[in-house]
Formats: sequence, structure tokens, C-alpha cells
Amino acid sequence: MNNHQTDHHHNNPPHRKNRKHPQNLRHRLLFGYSLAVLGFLYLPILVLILYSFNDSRINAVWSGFTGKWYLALLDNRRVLEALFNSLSIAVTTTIIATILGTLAAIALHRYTFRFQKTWNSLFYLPILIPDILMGLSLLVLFSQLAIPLGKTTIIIAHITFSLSFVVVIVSARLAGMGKELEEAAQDLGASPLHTFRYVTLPLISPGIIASAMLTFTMSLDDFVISFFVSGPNSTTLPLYIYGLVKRGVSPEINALSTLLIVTTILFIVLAEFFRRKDTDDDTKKQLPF
Amino acid sequence: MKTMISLDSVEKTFGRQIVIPSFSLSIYSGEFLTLLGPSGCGKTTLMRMIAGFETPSAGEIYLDGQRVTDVPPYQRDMNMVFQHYALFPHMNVTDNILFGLKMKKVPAAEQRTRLQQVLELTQLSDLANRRPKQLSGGQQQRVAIARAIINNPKVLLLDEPLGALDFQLRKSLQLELKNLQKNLGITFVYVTHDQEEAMSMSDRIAVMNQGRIEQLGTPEEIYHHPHNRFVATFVGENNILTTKSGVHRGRTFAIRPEKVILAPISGRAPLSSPLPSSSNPSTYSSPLPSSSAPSTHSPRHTPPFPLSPSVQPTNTPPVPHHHLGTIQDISFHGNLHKIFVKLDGEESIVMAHQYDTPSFQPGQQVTIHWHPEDEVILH
Repeated sequence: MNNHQTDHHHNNPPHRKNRKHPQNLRHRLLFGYSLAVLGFLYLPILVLILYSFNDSRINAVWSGFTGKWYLALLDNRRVLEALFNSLSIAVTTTIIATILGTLAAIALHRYTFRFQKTWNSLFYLPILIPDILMGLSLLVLFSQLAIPLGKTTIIIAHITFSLSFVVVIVSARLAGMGKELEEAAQDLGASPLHTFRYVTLPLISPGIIASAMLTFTMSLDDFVISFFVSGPNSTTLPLYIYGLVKRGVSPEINALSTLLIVTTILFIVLAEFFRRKDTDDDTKKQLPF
Repeated sequence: MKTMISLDSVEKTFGRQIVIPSFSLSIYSGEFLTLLGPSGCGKTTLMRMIAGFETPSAGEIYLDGQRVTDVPPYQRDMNMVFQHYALFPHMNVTDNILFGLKMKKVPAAEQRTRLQQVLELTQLSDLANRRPKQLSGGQQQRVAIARAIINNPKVLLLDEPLGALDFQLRKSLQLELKNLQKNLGITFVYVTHDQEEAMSMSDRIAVMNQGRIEQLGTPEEIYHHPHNRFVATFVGENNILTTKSGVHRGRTFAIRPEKVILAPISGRAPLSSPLPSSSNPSTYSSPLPSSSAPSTHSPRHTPPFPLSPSVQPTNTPPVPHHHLGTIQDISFHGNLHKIFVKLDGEESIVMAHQYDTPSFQPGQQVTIHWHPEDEVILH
């Protein structure tokens, strides 16, 4: 559908002669196209959210508004268990990945290494590696090392893929800060520790908070990698939803997914807010990944 | 005079590149010393070594008699004003200025009195609660200076502190800085590539090129008695000429444009000019490094003077400072006109400054001369 729209658009070159309102027509076409793209992206999610409030058990029929599916979730022991697993994994991952990634970014910023570019690329590369490869390779690693699959392996896996994002975001913040402010602090008598405490840390903290939120969200949402490295009693929310879907899409799943979507959007918006905080206009425009 | 900073055979190399070859300099207590040079001459590297941000590859640095070569910047009793101010964006003006005192754990009461003094001195009292972002460039510069001098450092290092400001503001801050230095008695080491700024503020100027000092002296010495061609052309404008014949054949000398005297002559009867230089043995040739005269006006050809040295009677003292020339171009610079004169029979173009409205026209024939004592022999 998307492709079709694009082709259609290209078949109407903008310089085509249209005597009456060429400008107007072009705008209307572009507007329609934009709406189609937005619908393509968000309609499925809207439908899902809508049916999570549907009174009927059958998705296709709308029989009235209800919040009972959300209440039903609270009574479901397995849902709560999965939720607890997901949250504890996400919190642990966030703390460890943020600290490790921030330290790595500071090291890359402060010191000059041999093969500096190579080191940088090695940090960024995992962003581009397909999840399925990452999950598979981690599974092979864990079985080679005879580490039993469970929450610990999921946390390790989540840290592995989050680390790159933390390094990228904090590095961007450090690059924007430059070295002069740290030098100024040292010039004014601040020891390296005080320089970090009073100048570096406050200035990069928006980046640290942003990457923490992103890490939390990614950990909460991850399915593919978790699927490979999870064990008994370590079912996360996405894994639980996947298990339910095999038996058909129920309104409970819609409700659960809606909650997940809302949480995700909230955290992403907050992460963007912190990432952009106090930065100059030109650094705002560059995306972290 | 007491030496405050002593650089003893300091060297700096980055990889295989030698930025500063063995460099020695004594900076006296309470003086305003400027490191002046083109970008890339090593003046900033030198200052960063004094501040402690770079370690010399060889040699020693002494501050007030103490060896500080390996002492980290936060333990050196000196402060720096950075080129781009480097104010902490997450602190207001007060916290920026107090940062140094807080790091040194100065009692709060003393912090407050010193803050008040410095705020008044730099006229920042009304802006104490602002963030750096809410200040103009000149105000930010003042905060940077206040943040440094509140620590009563032995030395204040200033790395092109006025470089980012516009012309008018730069002029007034130059005066303020100079007065501040006089009142506080702190040793100032100032880095700039602006020779006018260096002249108007410094007690001594070290003219630097390729990591070396070309000349060290007062602004007057530097301007009136440049040692070599680099200094002569880097500081102010100059005409560089070479004696082509006579006793001092091959000697290079400089003559300041304001010392060149022009007088109109009748273009039709050049031979009636009272110039004794008609049999002048000295002729000059050199490109003019400090200016490039547009050659839109080709000089009118005039009857040549007998320039041949053979006709010069040996017992007559030569008068090498009179010439004939043709005005090629006149440019207006507000308080002065720059007049470019091509010497007849020569390639060289001499620039003269004329402070009153000139009666000259491009293409006009003029006599050109200067007093022999105004020539500065270059080595």
C-alpha cells in the first residue's frame, strides 16, 4: 500500500501543466499522501487500543465500551508475574547499562587511543546487528559457558544491546560540551574528581537520563532476543503476549498491549525531552541513532 | 625586576611535529606581556604549557621560583581566561565566579566579600543571577575575567579573550583590561594575533613565528626598530626595500609608510625638479609584502633619469633617499589615505600614508623621499 502511494505520487510530476490551480492540487495530493502514511503507521495501533475497550469477546464486533479487560488483567496471576519479570529485568538492565555506557563514553571522549575510530565503531555496531543474530549468538554463548537460561541471561542480553545506545547518546552530549569547560574547572582549582562531580556530570546528566529511559523502554519491549535467552520462570510481558496470541487474540491481550504501548510512548517522549534539554539548536537536530 | 614565570629551554612536539623548538623566556612580576604571532605560531601551545594543560616534551617551567613543569593545572597559582569564555552553562553568574573559591574551600563570609568586590570591579552586580546564555558576548567576557581574578592569582593567562567580540566592544574592553591589570598588579600573559591590540596594551611584546621568538621588546622597540623582516611586516605596515647598488649593495631595509614624504612635480618638466637624485646610484627593488597595489593605472612613461652608477662622481656624497615615481593608486582609510607609488625604472611599489586630504591623483608624477635615519636595517 505504501509503495503504491509512492508510485502514484511519482507519476504526477510537480511540473506537470495544470492551468487552474497547480499549486493547490499539488498540496492536496501531498496532504492526502501524508494522511495515508500516518494511517498506515498508526491505524493498527488505534484499532488495538479501541478493541481493548470492547465489551465483546470477539474482536470484529463492537458491542459497547468497557474497562473490564483491564481489571481482569489485575486478577491474572500469570500476567502479574510476567509484568514483575519485565519490570525487574528492565530496571536492572537500565542501571547497569547506563553506568557502563556512560563510563565508556567518557573514556572515549577523554582519552586518545590507538585505533580510536575502530573502538568507536565497535561500540556502535551492535545497533545495526539484527536482533535475531544477537539472540542466537548470545544463546550459543550461554550454552557454551553452561549458564542456565533465566532472568540473569535476559538481563545480560539486554545490557549488551542497550550499551551501544547509551554510548551513542552520552557521547553526543559530551561532544557538544567540548573539553574547554572541564579545563576551565581544573584551571579554577577543581581536582579531576571535583571536575566530574560539579561540571561534567551535571552537563551530561540529561543525556544519561535520556539513555536510561530509552534502555528501560527497549528492555521492556524486547521480544526477539528475550525469546532466545529466556528460561523457565523468566517469561516477560512480550513473551507472555506471544504465548497468548497462539491461542487467538483476546481483549486481554489488547488491554495488555495498550498498556505497554502507552508506557513506551511516555518513556520515549521523556527520553527525547531530556536528550534535548539545554542543548543548542544545532545539536537538537541530530538524532542519537 | 622579579621574574614571575621562567621558561627554560621548553620544547613541545606532537608526534613527529615540532611545535615549539627549545624556547626560553622570562616574564616579570606585574608586567603585561603579549605573545603576538600569526595563527599556528605556537603561542597558544606555549600558554597551555604555562597553564598546565600540556606537558613540555623537554625543559622546565618555573612559577615564582617554584618548578611547576609537572604540576597539574588545578594546583598552579594562576588562572586563565579562555578564548570562548568557557563559562559553566548550568550555573548563574555568581556560582561561576565563586567556583574557584569553593574549590579551594574559602570561608563563606570571605567568598561573599570578594564576590562583591569583583562584581563591582567588572560592573556585573546587576547580572549576578543571570545564566551565561542570557548575557551578551561582552558581559560573558567580563564574567570570565571576574571568575579568574577573584582567586587573586599570581598570573592571569588570557587566550585571545577579545577575539570573538565586535570592533567597538573590543576597543573599550582593551582599555578596561589594561586598567584592571594596572590596578591589580597581576602579571598578565596575553595571547593574540592582533598586532594593534598587542601594541596598545602590552608592556612587552614577544613576536612569535614558527615556535620561536622573533623579537622581544616594548611596543615602541618592536614598531620602530624591528630586527628582521618578519617583525617589520607583521607589526604595522612597512615598505621593504633592498639597496641594489652602491656601498650598501644588497642590504634590506624597512621604511614605515608614514615616514615617506611625497611632493608633486610638474609632469611636463621633470628635469627641472630640484632633485639631486638624478644621478642617484642607489636603486631599490623588492616586492611590497604588506600591501599589494592594484595595477589598474599603468604609469605614464616619463623621460628616464640617468640612473647609471658610472656617471656618479665619487667625491659627491650620494643622496639615496630621493626618487621619482608615479602614483598608481590611492585608497581611503578614514583618518588617512594610502598612496601607492611605483618608482620610475623599478618594479618596486612604495606605500605612503597621507593624513591630510591629498592633492594627488593616480597617474601623477611625484618626488618621493625619506630621512635616512628613518630607514631600519633588517637582518
